This record gives sequence, structure tokens and C-alpha cells, in this order.
Amino acid sequence: MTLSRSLGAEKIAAPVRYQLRRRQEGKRTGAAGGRGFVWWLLIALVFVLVASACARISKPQGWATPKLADGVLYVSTNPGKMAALNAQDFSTKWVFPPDTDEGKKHELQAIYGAPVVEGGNVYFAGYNGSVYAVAAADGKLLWEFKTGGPIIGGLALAGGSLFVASDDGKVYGLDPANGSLKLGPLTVGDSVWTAPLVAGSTLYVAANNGKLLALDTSTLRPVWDVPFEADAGLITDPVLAGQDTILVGGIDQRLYAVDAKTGEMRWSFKADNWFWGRPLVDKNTVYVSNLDHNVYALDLATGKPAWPQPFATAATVRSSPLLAGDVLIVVDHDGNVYGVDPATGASKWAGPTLIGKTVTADPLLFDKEVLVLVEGGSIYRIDPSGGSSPSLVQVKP
Amino acid sequence: MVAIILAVVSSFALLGPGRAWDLLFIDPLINVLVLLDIVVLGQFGLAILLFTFILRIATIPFTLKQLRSTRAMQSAQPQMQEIQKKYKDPKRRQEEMMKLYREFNINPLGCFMPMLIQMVVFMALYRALVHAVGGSPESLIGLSQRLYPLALLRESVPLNQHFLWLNLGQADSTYILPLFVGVSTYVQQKISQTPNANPQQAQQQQMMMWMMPLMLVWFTLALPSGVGVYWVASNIFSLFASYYVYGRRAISWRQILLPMPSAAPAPAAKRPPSEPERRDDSEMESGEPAQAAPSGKVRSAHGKRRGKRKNRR
Repeated sequence: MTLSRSLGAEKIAAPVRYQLRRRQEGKRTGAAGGRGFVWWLLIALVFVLVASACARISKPQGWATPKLADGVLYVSTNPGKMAALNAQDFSTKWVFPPDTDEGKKHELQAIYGAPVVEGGNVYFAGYNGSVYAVAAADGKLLWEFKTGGPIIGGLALAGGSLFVASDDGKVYGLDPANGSLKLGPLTVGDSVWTAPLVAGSTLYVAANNGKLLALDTSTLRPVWDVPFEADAGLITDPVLAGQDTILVGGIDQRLYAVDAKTGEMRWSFKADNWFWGRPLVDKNTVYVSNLDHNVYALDLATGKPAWPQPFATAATVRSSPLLAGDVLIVVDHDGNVYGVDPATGASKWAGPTLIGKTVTADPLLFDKEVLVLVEGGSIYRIDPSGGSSPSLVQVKP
Repeated sequence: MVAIILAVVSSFALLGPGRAWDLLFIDPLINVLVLLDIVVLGQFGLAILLFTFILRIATIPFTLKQLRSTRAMQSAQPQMQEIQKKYKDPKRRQEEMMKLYREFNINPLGCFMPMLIQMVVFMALYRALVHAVGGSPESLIGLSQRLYPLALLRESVPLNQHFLWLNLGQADSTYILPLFVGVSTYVQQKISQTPNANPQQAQQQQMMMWMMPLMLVWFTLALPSGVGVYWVASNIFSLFASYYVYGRRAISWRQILLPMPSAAPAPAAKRPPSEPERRDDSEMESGEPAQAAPSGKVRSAHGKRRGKRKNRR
């Protein structure tokens, strides 16, 4: 009995003892543990990767320039949301899409183009590829039109058509009344990230293949025999300067002045990085920001620099400059706001005033102040005369 | 090598980790990828594949060293078992083990360098892809600051994000790429796996055999699919390297699909791998069963044979 009991105990205890011995041996033999160490190191590295990945995932935020119309400020106060605010007290009239079950069906992701307000309707486009028309009075959805790719440029309304160009490389002419396709879609050969420009009866579209197309607004047929072609993608919204000059720039680091009637280049100006901000034209001077941390002033007729040297900013400038009285307002990517003398390019303020948030949207002249929309949707107001500290606009729900 | 490591460490100390990481890894990688994109005529997916190929060719000495070390480890398992059995004193056993490692040219941390390179590239590539084909126009503003001031590089943007069914800047929502990543990682691991004498470590190894592919599948579901393309291409390259080192017969379906038998002591010493020898399946799976049998968890097909031999004794 004693013998069998002891045998049973031996049977049970043997694997346990074996495991304990193995464990001790494992601790002592460093070489055998080498592989385990490498595996755990690998896991640690993977976790570091995930931590760094999660920390800085880039999501579209949008840089729609706010629009002031009939005492209402239309602004994207959150990525993918368009809000109508009373200009008097910044109280919210409506937000589209609303936080309802119906509203959740429309996920715009971000809004890059400025809204168009016309005939009691507000038109805007989302990064989800859809164009929306909502009632200006209550933000109720009137119609939605889906394109084949994200919409990064804006819209243009002229001649009874609402024009939009999409990342799918097509230009669409929509009926603003009901959102049905009136013209096109016209394939332009590459994606389009710019807002179309309508001047007279011509629609200008700048594409990522470097082509600037001039199209008839009633037929979408080419107006020029040969489209203007840059060396690389055109990503600034084309702008009409004077009567017959189109300004457009982009990835080949050049700003072009193109004859609006013929498509021939008049001049080009080269900087050190991409042009992405919409050029601002005042009389005979073109003010344009570049991603090389400079703002340039150019003579509209010749393209020669109008300032002794460009105005240097601390960070890159994506947004367009804004003329507020006799001060040229420049806002860089890091939220530094500068007041510049438009005649000389010298700073008019003692130094930049700091918002300290990422800014990619164009500033807006609002009464006698400047509104700056920062990434995330907050709005700051700045007095352009002295460059006093920016104040955060309290948006009322 | 030491000079490079010192330069990297001092850069991190001087510039700070974020700036140094960008300056030394992310920015060069972005520019290389954009340059390769130009070489392959604007197909960014092909540029990633070409980059993978070049990187793996450049690091082939490390890869081969790792594979040979793994193979040597496999060959030396019987002797390891014998040493473990023979020497009870841990210090003496350790000495004998080290002697054996030297004899078989085994570096227990031999796989560290290729893995480190892989992981650094994996992390850097993720960041580079977020900038190069990031899911938003905002990311291109960052890209403009990272491209070297050469018109060739700066004018080739935006990059074509589409490759096969993938949008390289976004995660693959079809689950096909994550599946490829998981399967290729599993196969690659399985082939370079060494039999483990320690049952605890063998169990750990078995767990990792599943954990790693599953983790990578999970990451591929969240990361830009360009990273997944790199990982799959890299695994395929590793398979070819394994084929080159181990030979055709050593890479079999049986080896991939069946659990790895635990290591077993061999009565006779084998020659070190410095003398080239290609081993086939039967050779790899032959020999005595593992000491791990008492736990009852790691049991190979050779268990019966061991029983018979014991009986004969």
C-alpha cells in the first residue's frame, strides 16, 4: 500500500519536477533564451510601430474658405460638416449633415471648396465625392450628386449650370435646380484638385496632368485649339486677372499667366516649391504664396517681382493672401498671421500674431476684421490694423 | 558598421528622436520611393516592389547568415540534447553549448539584424507612405517639405495611388492583402523555424507562429496597403532565399502544414554545416524524440519508435 502510494506520488510529481527543472535551466542558459528575446523584441517593435502609427494617422480635414452671404456665414466648423452661422452673433442656424439618423447617411469626410450661395440655396462638395444642395434657410437637403472620386476643388455656378471637377478626372455640369447631369461628364485625362473658373462663357479647368482646359459653358467643348500645358500638375484654382489673363500654378513650382482667349503663355514665374494657394490680384500686382515659405508679389503684365524680396514666413503657406485695407494678411501653416505692406513687402506689424493652430484655409474679410478658420473648425478673428492677439469666435449652438 | 551605429545614435541625441528619425529614415525613403516611381513610369506599387527587391538584395548577406544559422541550429539540435542530458552542472552545460555554437557557426542572435532591418523599414515605410500617398490632400503639404529640391522629384507628384485592386494610401477593405500578408508570414516563419528542445520555448514558438501573422493581418487592415505590399514581397523574397539555402526538398507542404516536431538527441554527431549538405524531409524529421515528452504536449510521430528502442534496451 505504502509502495503503491509512493509510486503514485512519484508519477504525479515527476512532470512537475521536470517542468521546474526545465524552467530553472531555461533561466540559466542564456543562449537558449536568445531566440525568445528576439521574438519579444520583435513584438515590442511592432507595438512601437502601432503606437506611432495611431498617433499620427492623417485624415482629410478640409480647407473650405468661409463664405459670407446675406448676413450668414457658411463655414465648415467640423471636418465634413457645413454650418450656417448668423453673422451678428455667430449663433448656429443649421449644420449639414445634421446629427440625425438621416444625416448620418451623408458622410462628407471633409470639405475643401468654398460653398456657393445662390437663389436661396447653398452648394458645396465633399471629399466623399458628392455635391450637395441644401436650402439656405434651414439646411434641408435638396439634392445630392455623386461623382466618381473625392472632390478637392470647389464649384462654379454660371450660365444656369453648376460645374464641378472631381478626382475621377471628369468635369460635370449639373442642373442647380435638381442636381441632374446637364453636361458631361467630360474626361480631362487626369484627376482635378482645383475649382473650375467661369469667365464669360468659358469654363477653365486645371488638372493634375498639367493641362489648363478652356471649355464652352453651354457644351463643354474645347475653346482653345490646344490646351495650355505645364510641366507638372496644376493645383492652384485658376484665377482671372484683368480682362484676359488666367493665373494658375502648381507642382512644377511655376505660376503661369495664360492668355484667356488663346491659351498661350504670357509669362511664368518660378519659385522653390509648389504653388498651392490661390493667387490674389489687386490692380496690377499678383500676390501669391508658395510652399517654399515665401509670399511673392509679381507684376501682372510681366511676371517680374514687385517687391525687393519675397516676404518670408516661418512655416509654409497653403492659404491665399488677403488684402484688408492697406494690409496684406498672410497666414502660414503653423498659424502665424502676418501683416504685410502690399507695396513693399515689409512687415507692417511688430511681428506675427500667433494662433498656434494649423491653418490651410483662406482667410476671409469680415466687416473690418479678418476671420481665420483653423484645422478642426475653430474660427479666430484678427484686427488687421494692428495685429493684436487673435480672439476665438464663440460659436453658439 | 560601428561608425554607422554611432552616427545614428549621435544624430538621435543631437536632433531629437523625431527630427532624426525623419532626417535619417523617412525623408530618404520618401525620396527613394519617388525616384523609383519615376523609374517604373509612375506605377507606385511597382516602385514599392522594386524597393523591396533592392533592399532585400542589399541585405542578402544578413539574410543568408540568418538562414544558415537557423539551418545550423537544426543540425546541432541532437548534440544540444545530448549536452543537456550529459551535463547536469548548468555552468559546464553552458560552456559546452557555447563550444557547440562555435563548432557549428551558430549565432543565437543571428536573426536579429535582418529582423531589425525589416522592422525599421516597415515602420519607416508606413510613415513614408502616409506622406507620399497619404489619404488626404493635407498630407501632400507635408510631402512638399520632405522632397529633396530636385525638379525631377518634386514634379512627379502626386503619385499614382492605385495598384492592382489596391489604393496604396489606404487600408485594403477587400481583406485579400491582409490574407496574403498572414499566409506569407506564416509560411516564411514556418520554414525558418528551428526545432526547440525546451518545451516551454517550443510552446512559445508555436504561439508566435500564429501570433505574428495574426498581428500583421490586424495591422494590414489598419495601415496603408502599400506597407502590406512591401511585407508580402519581402516574405516571397525570403522564401526564395530559404529555397536557395535549404534546397527544394527541405521546403515541403508537410513542413509548412504540420506542427514542427520537437528536437531530439542523436546518438551520433553530425558534421557542422560548414560542410555543405542538403537535407531532405526525412532527414529533418529523423532522430530521437524530444525530452519534452513528459509534459505530453509536444509529441511527434517518432514517439513510438523511442518507446520501442527503450523496450529493446
